[in-house]
Amino acid sequence: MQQHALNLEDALQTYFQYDTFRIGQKEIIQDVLAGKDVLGILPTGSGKSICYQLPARIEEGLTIVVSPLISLMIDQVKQLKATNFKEVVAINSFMSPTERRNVYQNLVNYKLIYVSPELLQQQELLNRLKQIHVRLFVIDEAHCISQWGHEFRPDYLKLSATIKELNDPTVLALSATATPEVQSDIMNALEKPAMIKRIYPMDRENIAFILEEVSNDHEKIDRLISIFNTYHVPALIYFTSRLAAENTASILTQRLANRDVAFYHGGMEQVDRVSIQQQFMNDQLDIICCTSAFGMGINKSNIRLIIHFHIPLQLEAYIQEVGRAGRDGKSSVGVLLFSQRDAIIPNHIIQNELPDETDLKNVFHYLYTISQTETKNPVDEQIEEQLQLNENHWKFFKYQLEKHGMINNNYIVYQENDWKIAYHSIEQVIKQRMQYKEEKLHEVLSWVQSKNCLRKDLYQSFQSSYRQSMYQCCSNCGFSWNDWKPEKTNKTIEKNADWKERLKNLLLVGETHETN
Amino acid sequence: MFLESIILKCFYQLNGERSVSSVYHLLKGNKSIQTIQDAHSYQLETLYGIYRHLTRNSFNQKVSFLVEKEYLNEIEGETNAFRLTGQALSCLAESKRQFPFEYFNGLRYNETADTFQLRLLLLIQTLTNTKMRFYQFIPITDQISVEQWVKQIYRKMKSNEAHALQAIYQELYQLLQLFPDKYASLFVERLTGYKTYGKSMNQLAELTKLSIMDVHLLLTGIIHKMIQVIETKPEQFPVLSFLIGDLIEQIPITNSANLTYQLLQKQYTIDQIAVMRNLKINTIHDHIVEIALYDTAFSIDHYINQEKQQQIIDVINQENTFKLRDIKKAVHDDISYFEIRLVLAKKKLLK
Repeated sequence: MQQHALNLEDALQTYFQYDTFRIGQKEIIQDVLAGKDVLGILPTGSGKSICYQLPARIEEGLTIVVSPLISLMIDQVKQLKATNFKEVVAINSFMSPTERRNVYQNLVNYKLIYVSPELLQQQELLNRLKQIHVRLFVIDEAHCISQWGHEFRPDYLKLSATIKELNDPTVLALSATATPEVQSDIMNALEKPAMIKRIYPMDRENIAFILEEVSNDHEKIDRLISIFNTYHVPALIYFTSRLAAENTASILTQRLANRDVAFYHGGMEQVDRVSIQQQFMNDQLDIICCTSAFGMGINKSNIRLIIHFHIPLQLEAYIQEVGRAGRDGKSSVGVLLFSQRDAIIPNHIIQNELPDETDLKNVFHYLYTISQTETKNPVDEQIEEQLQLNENHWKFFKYQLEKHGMINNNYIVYQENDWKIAYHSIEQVIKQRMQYKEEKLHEVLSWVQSKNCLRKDLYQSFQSSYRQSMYQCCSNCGFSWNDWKPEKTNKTIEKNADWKERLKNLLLVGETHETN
Repeated sequence: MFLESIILKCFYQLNGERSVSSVYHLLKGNKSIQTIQDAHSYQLETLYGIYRHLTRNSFNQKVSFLVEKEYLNEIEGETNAFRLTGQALSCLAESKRQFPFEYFNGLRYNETADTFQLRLLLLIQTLTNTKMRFYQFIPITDQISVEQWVKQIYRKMKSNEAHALQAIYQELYQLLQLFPDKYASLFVERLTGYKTYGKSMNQLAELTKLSIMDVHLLLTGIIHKMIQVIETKPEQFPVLSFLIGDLIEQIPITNSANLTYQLLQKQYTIDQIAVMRNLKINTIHDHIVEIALYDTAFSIDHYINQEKQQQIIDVINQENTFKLRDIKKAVHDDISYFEIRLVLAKKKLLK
């Protein structure tokens, strides 16, 4: 009855110009086409997106992809459009109301829609989606649905209700990282206990893991300088703060001759982000100092070095970030620099990630005050400002308050006894999550202190076995820098020219640029 | 130091009559009537909306810095109003030689400038890549309206990219020659072509040894100046004036005010419009003031009689102030704030 009786390999070739499927892709696509719900755990860089992009192209009906990161959605849409798949759009909060309305009115003309979980909660969009045939509902970065995931997003928890409203389309939940507990959390939250699990190992046999202990940030910088004086390869340096990324980029620029360094984080304007990304892709930049905002959706295959300047908060995050090295299969290296003091900073970050008891008290007090007014209507921005809560903290509270029936349809419902119960329950949730995050951090810290094979220790809690390394293994198994000889970057050097010359070259004016 | 000097310039013009926030709103291009009226009343039209991405935080930091350096003095008895010190005045004079304040035309171009620049960047990126038969490039902007616009004009040019690029080259060359080399090259460094990517703001800042904010302001100024030249001699810049074409003519009033205007023209009263649109009377008043500011043909006589108008104008002249509160105190009690604002709005255009 459906056209996908056609050979999937042919479709892959026609639409994506690949000859063969990578591990896991074909199985997942076949399940999805047969209308089965799937939980797919595929390693970073394994082409997760093909699993829904291919069905979206060959099937009738609409595919919705829920994705937590706007930049990621936009990149994917751009890439798809570049391959001539035009019926694609990312609906996000950057769009002007007019642009959004235009898209809403033409929903039937799209085959693939990326949308943030927040926007999907909007009644207008939901109503319009209900009127069309949604074939496939994809949850990208599905670990965000899990309270135990390192990027928990309360809005994701509302997706199971959304799926029901959309008349139960086939569900595909995808993640690059999920421990068994996160996997079951995903299935529970989606209320899909019968999902087919397609779990693929995430170990990377061409990456060596290096831990280097230093005494302070100064020494970290010195170590960076010495590494980059020896190696001229495409590299990412991850930081936990935007400011540290900016500052280090500027120090490296000063101290490294012949290396072009830039920073990248979520706080930059769009044109700048595209520029930096593309300069790096084009080998005009050697080193990017970045936060976790960089890399999602980046498919540069020859990144050789991933350095972590700060300790990551969870091993899952580390595996994902270090996995951006060596997508081409060639020998690559992940370095984690740490000093004994480093454990203090992530503790601080964890504390900031979650609201504390004072916040909880304030929220209850404030809501009580509003419940005594005429409107009984909490306004997000006002609460965030009045109580000095950041957006995520308030979202967390709001979700909890809705769950306990304290807020219903944006009205506050006051019941003294219920509120008491809710208070203690939320207090418990915060404690539990704090504890969980501390445990996660503890795992990282003990990995860092480990004397065993780092590869083994890194992957053991995620999968039953792992492959032996193709090149060198790790610093505990005797890694030698002297034996690591990656190919030097063949750098695109920009000619130094005055603006008249540059303009002429850029606009391809003059004989040298005539094609045909 | 460009941003700092611009902030000083604003405080200078405001003459201690308005607060710190009003400077911020002005540079951000806040669309409230108060801000637009400030721009007119204190001759700050050119600086209106020239820094739309300015954050409250970095603005506050700059102001604290200026206070610390003793460029700004808080006026006694007023909170959050500042006056320039003697050394600030000489600093301002100096930086007027150093930076091109005269490039800006904020009130007129602040919205056009962004769109014009994005259209130009994307058009150049598209033409150069397709000329080289490279179709898989990542567009520099994803604003749908810009993308769609470029797509449309690209369709007309696509069989002859070389010709279009040649024309753009000639126009830009002509235009950039009007600027000092350092500004021309700043502009060119930002362009993205085939396998050449524009520099990020931070890269430009490193290159020019200026702050990111100053680079941002310089680029904005350069764009304003370019648009102004293009607008005066469109025949010399056929492609570039086409890029601006549909942007400039729009009367810069908000959609909501425009709707109110249409209803007024259909002879509905203020009260009726408020009910129809489910808005407060005050909001409709705001719209009418906005209309009076922008549309020279709009007569305010219908809303305030000549006699009252004269009384307000007299007070403004006597007291030498545009402050609503001061004017209200000095006029007869039956004159409302709305009426004063109407006269202020209109008077600016009569000048």
